[in-house]
Amino acid sequence: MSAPLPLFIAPFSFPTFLWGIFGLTLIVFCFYSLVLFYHWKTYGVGFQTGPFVSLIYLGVSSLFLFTMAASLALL
Amino acid sequence: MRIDLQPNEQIIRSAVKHWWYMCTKGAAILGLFFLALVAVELVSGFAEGAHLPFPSEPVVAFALAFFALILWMAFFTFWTDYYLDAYYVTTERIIYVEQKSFFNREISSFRIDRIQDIAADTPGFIATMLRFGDVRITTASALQPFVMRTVPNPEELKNLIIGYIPVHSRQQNCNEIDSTNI
Repeated sequence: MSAPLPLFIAPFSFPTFLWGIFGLTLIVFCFYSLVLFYHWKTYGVGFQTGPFVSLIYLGVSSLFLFTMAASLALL
Repeated sequence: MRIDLQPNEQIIRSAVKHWWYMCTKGAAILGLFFLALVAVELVSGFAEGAHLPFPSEPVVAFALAFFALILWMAFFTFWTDYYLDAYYVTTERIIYVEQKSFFNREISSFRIDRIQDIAADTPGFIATMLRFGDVRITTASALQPFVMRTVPNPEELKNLIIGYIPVHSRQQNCNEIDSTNI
């Protein structure tokens, strides 16, 4: 039942393992962003927690996520 | 942001921490990213020189982008903490809203006429140059002083609050001090 981690990941190839990390990152990122925007919307103080800053946050984040996905596609 | 005020109570000043606080956080995060870049360069150079295996470029790019995303999210956690922490000075009270973490928000307040002592503290060279510091307020009811940390223009804020302490309350506090000295 409780196999050591290297044994658990052994059946997966290295790229598959990295795609798994990417998927997990995407899920965590989406959840975090929802929590962040919930707080901004509920307790927001104006420009600093408004749509413009939200767009910058999402834009730069998607750039990092795209870089991660593109790197994996090149493997 | 919605704060329940009493009838005839008005907000006269609101303050968030000084921008320098956010700058230090941002610089630390940027520094960590550059540290990672330098580490990758050094290790790849060493591995090449010593003929050791080193991950391919896409793997390095993946790792760096992953690290950058984590730092970016950390930066916005600080950003949220920075902008959702706020002090409000009203005609009746001082209200402090503290976003301790996500889903942990604390709003505390005390009446201005309960203030016994108030002091502005500007610690260090940068604080003096950029004019920020702490305002320490001792009230009649609390054991620990209430500290408004890293606020801009602490001296001005202190004088503003003193101006709103009712005159009878000031005289009463002075009388208490005089009687304790005797």
